[in-house]
Amino acid sequence: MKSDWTNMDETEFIDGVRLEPENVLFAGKDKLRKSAADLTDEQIEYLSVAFLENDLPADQLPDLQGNLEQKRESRIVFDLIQKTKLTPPVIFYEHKSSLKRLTVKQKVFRMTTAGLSAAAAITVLILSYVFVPGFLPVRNNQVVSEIIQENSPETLLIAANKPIIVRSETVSIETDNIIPGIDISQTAEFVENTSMSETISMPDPSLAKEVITVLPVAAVFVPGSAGIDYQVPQLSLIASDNNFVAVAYDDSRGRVRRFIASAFREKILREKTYSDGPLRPYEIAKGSVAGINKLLGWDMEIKETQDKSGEVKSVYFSSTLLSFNAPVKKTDE
Amino acid sequence: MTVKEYNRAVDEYADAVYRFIRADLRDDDRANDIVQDSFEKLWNHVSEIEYPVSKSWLFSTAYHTMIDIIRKEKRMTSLEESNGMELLTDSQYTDLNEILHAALERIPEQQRSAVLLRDYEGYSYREIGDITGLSEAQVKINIYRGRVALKNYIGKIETII
Repeated sequence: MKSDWTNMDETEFIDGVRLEPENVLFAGKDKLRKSAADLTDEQIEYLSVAFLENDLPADQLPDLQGNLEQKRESRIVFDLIQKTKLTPPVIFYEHKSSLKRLTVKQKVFRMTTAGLSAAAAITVLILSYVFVPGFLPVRNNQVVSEIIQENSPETLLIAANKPIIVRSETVSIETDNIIPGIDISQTAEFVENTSMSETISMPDPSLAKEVITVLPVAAVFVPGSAGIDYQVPQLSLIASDNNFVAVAYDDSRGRVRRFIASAFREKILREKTYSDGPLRPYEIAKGSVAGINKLLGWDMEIKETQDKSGEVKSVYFSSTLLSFNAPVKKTDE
Repeated sequence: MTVKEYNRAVDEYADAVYRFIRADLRDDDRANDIVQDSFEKLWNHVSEIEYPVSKSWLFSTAYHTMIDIIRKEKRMTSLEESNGMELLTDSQYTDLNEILHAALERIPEQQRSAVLLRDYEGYSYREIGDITGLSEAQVKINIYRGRVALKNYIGKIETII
């Protein structure tokens, strides 16, 4: 209890002790007062940036405006800062497609499409190989001696799938020295295989038969009125045995078909030199395989192998699931 | 985030991320790599990240990848090392925006990124802070300093012109 009385007395005592402030005023207040015009350059910069960022408190806006109205330098600073707003350039990311992912539906659709495409390509290849005659030409560059049947009166030549130019000359030859059974008039023509850049001149017509039977279609002497019962293209002369299969090249094909053929070879097969001749099934299959590889990142391969004479020996197909090497049948053997 | 939403993010944000990184690095190839890397990371976390936050996530990832690259190449410019706003007097500028982008190369990385995110994407201070890992106050001061630096640069250019 005594302790409580002591505390009470002390509290009352402290309450009675108060310091009263002196009644003194600061005389230099007016000197401390500032107007908007007194804002420093740094403050103007700060307020200008805040204004640009739409971050300036409403009660500070009049200060800024007041300063800008009174100080030209501040206006310049303010204007410059307002110009620092960047405008994004109009550029786009070009590789968006590489970033995208397939949904399950898209994956199923793509796999189905790819599978069907692959199956179609392989089917075309196999069917073409089996059913289409001349799909894999085996009669290229045949030795003339294998083709000419000497006892056949309508026999003449030539098995070569390259351009042939006929150079007309008039020569006198003896019929019996050439091919038995053929009635040859007094004019004849030399056939020149331009791809081999070789012309065989025959100063002595009696040597013609020998040349023909030895050389592989470099040049052949052709009697002018040999009575060929076969419609041949202009400027070319082709004859064969009874089993001759004409090359299915139709010059009367439309421009569109020629364009498609040349574009296919140029754009899809990426051939440096390309013709507008009819597309072979092998080329279509090759293009299909290339397209599927590019689309799906697969590694299928189709390739034809040739022997030294350029004759197709076999077709090789390879994929992760299936590989085969199909030899080419020679139809005339 | 679904695959569909991921692809939507590609359509909607790839350009913006690319622009931001390209403007910051001034290198198309690097920017391309960083965008691809960022979206690859997004794809790896596609099930964890919600679509609404994917934009800031992408920007943040791209920003930090860029910072890593810059640090590796020791191209980071600190405030102390900054040699100020030396003028490219031999440059031929065609417009103010080009001048500003040239000036951007000469300000510190944090200021540059803050200004770019603010101007290109209109991000708030807080969003920029989330992307860059800075506080709002730091973002604000970076933007202020960046703007003043740009102002000084174009001021000198205007004086010359």
